[in-house]
Amino acid sequence: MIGIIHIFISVLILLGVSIIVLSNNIVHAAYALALTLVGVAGMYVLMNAELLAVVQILIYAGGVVILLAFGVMLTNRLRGEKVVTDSGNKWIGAIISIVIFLGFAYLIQSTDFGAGEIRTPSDQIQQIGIAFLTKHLLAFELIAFILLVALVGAAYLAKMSSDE
Amino acid sequence: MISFLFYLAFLLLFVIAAVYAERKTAAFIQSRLGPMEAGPKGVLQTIADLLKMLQKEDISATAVDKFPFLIAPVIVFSAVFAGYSVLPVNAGLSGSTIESGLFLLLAIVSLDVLGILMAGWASNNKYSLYGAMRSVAQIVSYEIPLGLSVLSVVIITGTLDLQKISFLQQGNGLPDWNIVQHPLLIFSFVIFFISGLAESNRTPFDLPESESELIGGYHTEYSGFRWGIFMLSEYGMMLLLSILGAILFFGGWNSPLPNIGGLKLYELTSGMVLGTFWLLAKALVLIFVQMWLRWTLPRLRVDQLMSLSWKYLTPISLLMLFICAVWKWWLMS
Amino acid sequence: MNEWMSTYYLYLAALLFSSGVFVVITKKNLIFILIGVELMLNAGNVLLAFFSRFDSSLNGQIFAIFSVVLTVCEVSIALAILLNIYKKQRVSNLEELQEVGNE
Repeated sequence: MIGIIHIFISVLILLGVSIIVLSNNIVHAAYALALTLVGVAGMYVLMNAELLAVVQILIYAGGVVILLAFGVMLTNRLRGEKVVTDSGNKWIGAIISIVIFLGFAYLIQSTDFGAGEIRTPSDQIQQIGIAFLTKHLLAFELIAFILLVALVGAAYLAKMSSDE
Repeated sequence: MISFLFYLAFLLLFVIAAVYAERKTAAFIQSRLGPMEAGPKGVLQTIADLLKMLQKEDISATAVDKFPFLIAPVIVFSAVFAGYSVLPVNAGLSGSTIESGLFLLLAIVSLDVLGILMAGWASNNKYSLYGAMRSVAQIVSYEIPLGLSVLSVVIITGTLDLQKISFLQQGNGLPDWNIVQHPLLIFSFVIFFISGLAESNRTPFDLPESESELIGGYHTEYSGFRWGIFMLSEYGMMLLLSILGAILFFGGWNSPLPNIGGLKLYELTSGMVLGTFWLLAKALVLIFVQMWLRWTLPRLRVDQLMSLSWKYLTPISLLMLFICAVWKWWLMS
Repeated sequence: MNEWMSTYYLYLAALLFSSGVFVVITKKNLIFILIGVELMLNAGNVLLAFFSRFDSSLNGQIFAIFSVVLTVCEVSIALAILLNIYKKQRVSNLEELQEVGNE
């Protein structure tokens, strides 16, 4: 059941994650994050979650990564040298992350998920749209409000210091 | 898959013809003749330019960030070209028939800003970085009116699949086009067209690559074939938005001739090859309008550009979205 | 449904989460730490999307979409704060950061 597409997308994700983990160059890590997020969007398509995949590409890879790249460029003096950071606590970090991974692996192995049948409806996007406006209406409106407040606040915070 | 390969072949041939068309259009608007030397009336000029560009040395300065510098044009082109995968060609040959076709096109096309940012940053050159920042800000700002105007069409047609939108405009030629059936879409089309010009960095929005100001913007340091890939992706984006405009507003691959009584002109001018011809002809008319605008209008300053998007186009497209929703509700009741 | 396929996606989520933890613990630049947080949030979204496959009302996907939007809010505010810190202190390294507060 593992097709060639699964292998290709997992290679993309592994490549992205290894560049983020092993590289000290922040700009390279931001590009690798874009690669990882596009790979995860591919995973969503394989999991039959179409709308989420498109939202992931549109918002994460096309928005958040640009924000992070701009953040890198605005918080470093551009003298033409590579933007590197140093990293410490490598051994403790490795031990903790491996312990967490093994904990998850144990949980996954010891759970009996049973035989689940895939029940995604064929007109997914319409169902999600209707659900947004009927069942989850309050959450939808609230999240629009939170987004507005967060963006206004971020714009104000980033501007504040130029007035002093 | 076949439609994707068709569009690849068409794009490559189109670029060769479009560069010649652009130079001739520029010449005639400016009351001069344009290329006349290479071949009869200068038709082989693009081939000559292509040969020159292909055998230029691939220079990259020593202080550039090697891998992102080399990969950036490929990312820009891939992101733009991946949008062609959901476009239909004619009634029988549709693109990828996923449910969220149009939405996916908008999402993937917005990935080209990553390539531009990579090109600007990796060039290790202040002017490239300024050009890249301006270009990214412009593209990201104009994605919003583009998406909202496309959404007005989607509200009225009720589907995101481009082939189904073309089927909904079938039947009787010109009176069945979206822009004639629902005249409100004229405003949406104008907003779509302006945002599309800004998305492909065309004049009057070509500040990022203006030769008189920033030397070349984010593609200053590129030479030879890599610069050619940037130009290919610019023309690719122009063609993508023109084909999208033709499908959404002007009937797609349907013929414009109506069935007048016994003279069934619509049936006579439909078919596989003719459908493709109508679609590409409508797209080429829109491209001609884009080239015409390039040599007529002056360039916008960067603050005028930003204020146009945020203060004018976005509120108007939101208003159009609301009005189209009311129109659809009135049609359905 | 194949037992292998379900564990494959879950292992992927576990991998993303643990590499996010590693990045947050190890790297010193503030923006790098934000990248690690992104990885962890993505791991959660992968889990949500996977389990919404077996639900005909698609609740997991809707929740994941809300989570993406909230992440965007969080990243934009975090970057605005980082910009402010940089303007005041000219450093973006965790070790060289002085007290942000009563200045």
